Amino acid sequence: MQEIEVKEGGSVLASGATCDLGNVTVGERATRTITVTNKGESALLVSGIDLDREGEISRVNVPALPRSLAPGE
Amino acid sequence: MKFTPAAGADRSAKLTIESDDLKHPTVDITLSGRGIEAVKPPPPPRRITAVGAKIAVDHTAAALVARSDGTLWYRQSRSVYQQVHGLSEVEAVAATTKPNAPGNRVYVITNDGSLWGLDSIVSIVARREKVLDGVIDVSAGWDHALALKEDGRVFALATTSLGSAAVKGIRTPGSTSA
Repeated sequence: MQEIEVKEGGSVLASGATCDLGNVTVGERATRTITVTNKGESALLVSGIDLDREGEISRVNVPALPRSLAPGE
Repeated sequence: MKFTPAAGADRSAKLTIESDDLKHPTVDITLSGRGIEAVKPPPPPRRITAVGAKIAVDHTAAALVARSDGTLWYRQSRSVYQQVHGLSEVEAVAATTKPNAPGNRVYVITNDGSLWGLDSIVSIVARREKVLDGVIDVSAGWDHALALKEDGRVFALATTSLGSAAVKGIRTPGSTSA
């Protein structure tokens, strides 16, 4: 089975980890880029990237899914 | 991810990455952040730079206060202070004490050395008349005022029956204070 690596700003996020978006002044906006990499040796199909609730925290620039990631991609 | 918080408590959401090819078909990451209120800059200091007093037409006492931001404020009896609009950069204030208009005048010096006579301060909008330039101090009595100019001359100010100022220079030895 395949492995993926999830990174935010150079830090690897394991499943169950928390990504701190920090303190943001009301009226302003912060963005974070989360990168998913296929660390396996064969193609991996990412079927979904979801937030359990979208509101003040929301997704932007999410690639069309499902999407196949080649090894190392 | 985009985080646009409203005011209030911490915010969080769970990000799930799904793939049937994984050992564990989902990877769950909690995103958290806090919305904080912008820090408001402190208000400018409102130090009092000059005070004056006058007797209003109804014979009640009134206080005049010039603040460090150059505004002039007026308080009659026990009412709250109200700003006298139409004036700025006030540095000194003095008022004649004669209760009945039109001999009831407030004089202010603005930071360019101009001396102004105000006739209608009760309406909180000053009807002002420029009286002198180059004034560094002013003092007022019953129905007259004395203005000291930067060259050391003192001018006497009195109001006519119409309220406008009559100005007369006084011979003074050197830099006599007003």
